[in-house]
Amino acid sequence: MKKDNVFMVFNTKGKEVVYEYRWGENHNPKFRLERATRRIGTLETPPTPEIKSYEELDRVFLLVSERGSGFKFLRQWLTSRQEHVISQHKISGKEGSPPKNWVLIDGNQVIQQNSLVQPDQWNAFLKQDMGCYILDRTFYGDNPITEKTGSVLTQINATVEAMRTDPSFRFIHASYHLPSLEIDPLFSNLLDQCHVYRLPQFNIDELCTWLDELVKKYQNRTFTIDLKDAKRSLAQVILYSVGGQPRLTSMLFRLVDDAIQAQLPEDERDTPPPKKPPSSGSFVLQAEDLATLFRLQGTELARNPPHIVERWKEDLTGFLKNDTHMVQLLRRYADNQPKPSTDAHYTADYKLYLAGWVGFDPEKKWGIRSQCHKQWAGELLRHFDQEKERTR
Amino acid sequence: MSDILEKLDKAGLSPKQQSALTSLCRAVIHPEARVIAIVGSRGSGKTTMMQRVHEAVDADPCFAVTEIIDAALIDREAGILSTCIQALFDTGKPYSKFSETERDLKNAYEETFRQSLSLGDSFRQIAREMSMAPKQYLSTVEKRVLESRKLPEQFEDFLGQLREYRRKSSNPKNDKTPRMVVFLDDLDLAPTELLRPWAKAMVAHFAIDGITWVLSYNQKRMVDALSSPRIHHKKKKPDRETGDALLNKLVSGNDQFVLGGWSTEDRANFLPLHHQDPHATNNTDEKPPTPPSLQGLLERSGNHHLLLLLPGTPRGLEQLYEWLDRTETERNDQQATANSPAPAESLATTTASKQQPEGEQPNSKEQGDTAKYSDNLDPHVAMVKLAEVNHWKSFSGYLKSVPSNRIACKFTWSPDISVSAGDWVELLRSAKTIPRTTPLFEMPLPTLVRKQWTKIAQGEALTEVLCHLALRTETMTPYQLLGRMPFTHSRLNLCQIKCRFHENKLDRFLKDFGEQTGHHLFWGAWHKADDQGMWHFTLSPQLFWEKLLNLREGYPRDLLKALYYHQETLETHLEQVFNDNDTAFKSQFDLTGEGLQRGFLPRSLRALILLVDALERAPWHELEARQNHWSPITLVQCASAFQLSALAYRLWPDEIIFDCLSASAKQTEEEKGKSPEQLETGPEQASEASPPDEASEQVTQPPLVLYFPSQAFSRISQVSEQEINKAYRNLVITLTKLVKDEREIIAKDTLPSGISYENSRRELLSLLAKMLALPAVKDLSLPQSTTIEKETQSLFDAIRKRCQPAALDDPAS
Repeated sequence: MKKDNVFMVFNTKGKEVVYEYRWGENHNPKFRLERATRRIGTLETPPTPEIKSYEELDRVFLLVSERGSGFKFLRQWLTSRQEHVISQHKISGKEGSPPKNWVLIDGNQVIQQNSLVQPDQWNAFLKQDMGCYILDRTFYGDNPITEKTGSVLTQINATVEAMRTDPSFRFIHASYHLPSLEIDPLFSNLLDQCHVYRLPQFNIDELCTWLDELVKKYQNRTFTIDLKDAKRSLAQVILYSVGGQPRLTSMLFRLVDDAIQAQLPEDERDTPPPKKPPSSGSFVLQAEDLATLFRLQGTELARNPPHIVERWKEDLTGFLKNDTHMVQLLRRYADNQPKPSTDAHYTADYKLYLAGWVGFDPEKKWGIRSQCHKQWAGELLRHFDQEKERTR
Repeated sequence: MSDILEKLDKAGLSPKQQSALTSLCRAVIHPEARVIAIVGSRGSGKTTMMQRVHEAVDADPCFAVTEIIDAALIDREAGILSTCIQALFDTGKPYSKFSETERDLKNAYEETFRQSLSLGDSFRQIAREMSMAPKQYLSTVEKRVLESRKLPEQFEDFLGQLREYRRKSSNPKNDKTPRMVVFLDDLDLAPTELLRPWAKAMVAHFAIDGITWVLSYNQKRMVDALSSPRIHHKKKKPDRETGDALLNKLVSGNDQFVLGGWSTEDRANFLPLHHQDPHATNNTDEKPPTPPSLQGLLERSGNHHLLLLLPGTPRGLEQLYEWLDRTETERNDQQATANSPAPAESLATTTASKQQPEGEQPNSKEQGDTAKYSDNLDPHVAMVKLAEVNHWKSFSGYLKSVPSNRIACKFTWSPDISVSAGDWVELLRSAKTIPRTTPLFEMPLPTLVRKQWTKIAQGEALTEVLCHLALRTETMTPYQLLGRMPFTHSRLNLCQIKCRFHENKLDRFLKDFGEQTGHHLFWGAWHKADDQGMWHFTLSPQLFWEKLLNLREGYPRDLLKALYYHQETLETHLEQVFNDNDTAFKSQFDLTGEGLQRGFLPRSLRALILLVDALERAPWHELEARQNHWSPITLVQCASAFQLSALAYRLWPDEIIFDCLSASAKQTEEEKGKSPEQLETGPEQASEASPPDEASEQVTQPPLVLYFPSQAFSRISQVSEQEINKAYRNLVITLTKLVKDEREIIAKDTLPSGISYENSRRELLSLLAKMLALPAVKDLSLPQSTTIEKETQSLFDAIRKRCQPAALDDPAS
């Protein structure tokens, strides 16, 4: 099945595949994460982009991100790196039990206890079997904590506490940022003990590799792309439009791709790029043209948001209902105003940051990340106001 | 008979007067004429008429004519009749030799004269006052009655003798006795107590064969004098009915020749009699330059607006003419003396002369006016003189305290004034008439005029003139005037579109048009509706003017706030646009600033009324009814098209527009660099016959037909003013060049009745299509809504176009 909301490229075998940028795979073996700092939103302690090799990674940490930000890729990366460690271990013939690969505990299954049969990994974890565990709570909705779930969480908490100091124990608590997590026994306990990391959004360098792919896709076609030195400024345009959010970036590239595809002759569409340039010559898209195209398609994207945006809005509304300060702050940001200098409360910023709405915009100012986000935040706030008026 | 009519001196009279004179003369020489009257108000030319008739009749031997008796000079003791008898007797002079007939005539005269002296005196009264004995008293009265009965007989006898004497003395062979003609001028000025008995006697005895009485009087005063006083009436007002009846008995209706007020055209073309001496032109070969008419004089002095208020009587006109003539020569002399000396001195004298007339007004703007009017007569002085000539006492008293160009600023109309549909049509009709010498009929009068001056002047004309003065000198702006007139205001209130838009829709609209959004927000007003997410959008020319005059803030803060307008470039751009607008309009349309002839609304009451009408005819409500199909920007586009067409269509008659355009078309080629203010010259100035000394100046000023807010439109559409002026001119040319039939069709469509409710949708669309398809509206390049798809396609089209040569070259290489 060919998805219509992702950027497709042709692989070396000439097969059309989804293009996925993976940190640590293409160019360097390190993964990029952003650590949420204490007074986030100030330039004193901005979120620190940390490029970490597998070894540098914290052993126990909280991973928070919005939906659709590429948690799957992190997991794949972790597994592959661990496989590498295991193979190294085997080659070197070191003593002791060989390290185990990452074990995924499905939080939805164990905490909600939807299924009577508990998986083996879960039982091993409870038995305090040393190893690498990922507690995946990303399918977890904003459910209130019941007595039942509370007890499971306490159980996990106790297990983690017991094994935390052991060097062969690794634990990642992966979740979205939801209101119920704030009083979640496990989450709040871990918050005290370890760092909170956020999955990153693409920066300019990373977006340049996307652009390279796009250029590559249109080699030797009727329409070719010639970016010259303007790649970084073009990346800036993309950043301005979607803020580098992985899902949005992929979709934006798809829209641009489709727009160019529509201009190609019939026989050139959906085929891998030919080896030779076309005999009739080709039209060259300059960087400015492409920038216009990205801007236009960015507007198109803002108008027709992907479905995931509805989930983001839903998640954020949960916070907005309880936190007036957050509403005020979001209103300001959406209105393109900075945080007032007298406002020294950073909780709202922290939450908005973790939920993926707020961060550094392309001009390195603290605010809503992109034009698309601004548009949607405006819509969200308008809807929020109207709802409020209705219930008044 | 026809000889006399031919001999009549008709020189210098208007055709109307000539015909009146002929018929008067014909009545006088009619064989059965008894009493003929020339009726008219003071200064309406009664005496002139009488003199002309007198001259003509006097020359004919069939008539014996008395001198013109000025009744105002009649001695109270002598009485009217006796004066007439004396005048009749004097016609026979000189009585050289005392023949028998002469003696008889003289005896008859003396007897009649003596009898006539006591006419009207009550002997009962005299006898009572002398406290006579009853017997003596009765005999005195009896004697008197008998005597007075004899008077008619005696008069007849005297008249017969006189006529006979005249026949013999002039031509003994002539078998026809001449008719006697008595001329009595200004009868109403005679002593009042003499008039009633005289008139009664006339009716009873003296309107007889063989004598014609030619009288002249003012109807009202005459009737008053003839009326018997009502003793029981509180105010002792005379009983006018009796006076009227007596007067009608004295002179039959057919024989009353009424000299009415002059028509406005005649007033404008007035020339005083002494300026047109026919003999002078006959004797010399070269004709002296024909003297200018009163209109010409007024125009030369820059006061042509006063044409509306000219007095209706020749005497008043003459006074005004002479005064104007005199002041003009004075001004010319002053200029001549100012030009002759050395430059330094002349500068001093001109500045002095400039400051002299309005030195008491320190306002800088007023000084600017004086600078403009320096060659002209100060309109205020002219107004004062006009009031004086017209005998408007209360008005001239008011003028002493308030300058005439300030009076209109005090105008208010009572808010409940409404003009019915019929009256409005009439008002428009009179506003459209050319030449503009008829007042605006059915124009509701401002309180000040209605209360104080309706009796003394034509209120409509006075209102218009005062408004004109105020508008020209910018003591009042056209917008202020519009705001004050409740009847136009209520009509303008109908010229608006009210729409509702949802926020989500607006978000898209405003984003679609990107950088040009601000210019469109500028036009309308946004208000939040009661229901969620809805916004009211009001659009009207009035709101547009308000913004231009900086009376409201056009920046829709609330809307933008609610929309979370965050597109940075757009917001900064919007602010920039609004700031630019503010500064630009502040300097251009500042009410306190210097400078004349600026602004965007026509500076004339008529033009404003026509503009209101034209705006009212635009299909605002039909557009409103179709709101779902339009974006705010399309609405603005339509609204501006309406306003454009309103300005162009109905403001001035097509001929004027076309004349101006054809005149300007030649000049614009040379004068492209001119600033728009210079282009904005009113049609009046353009259509005026320019005096020869200003002709060179006129050539350098290409007249644009109307005041057009080109600067404002430039702000809106981001097109240069010159282009808009060009586009606008195109629009007007298109409108005027449209074949008459087509124009009628469009005009019919523009009428509210032209759109039937069944077909409203189809017709509205076609109408709007017509409006928007006008090339000039297209030329304004108002933005069009586009989709992303279209934009993308156009982007690729551009790339294709750009790369075409390269693509073709590639295979060759």
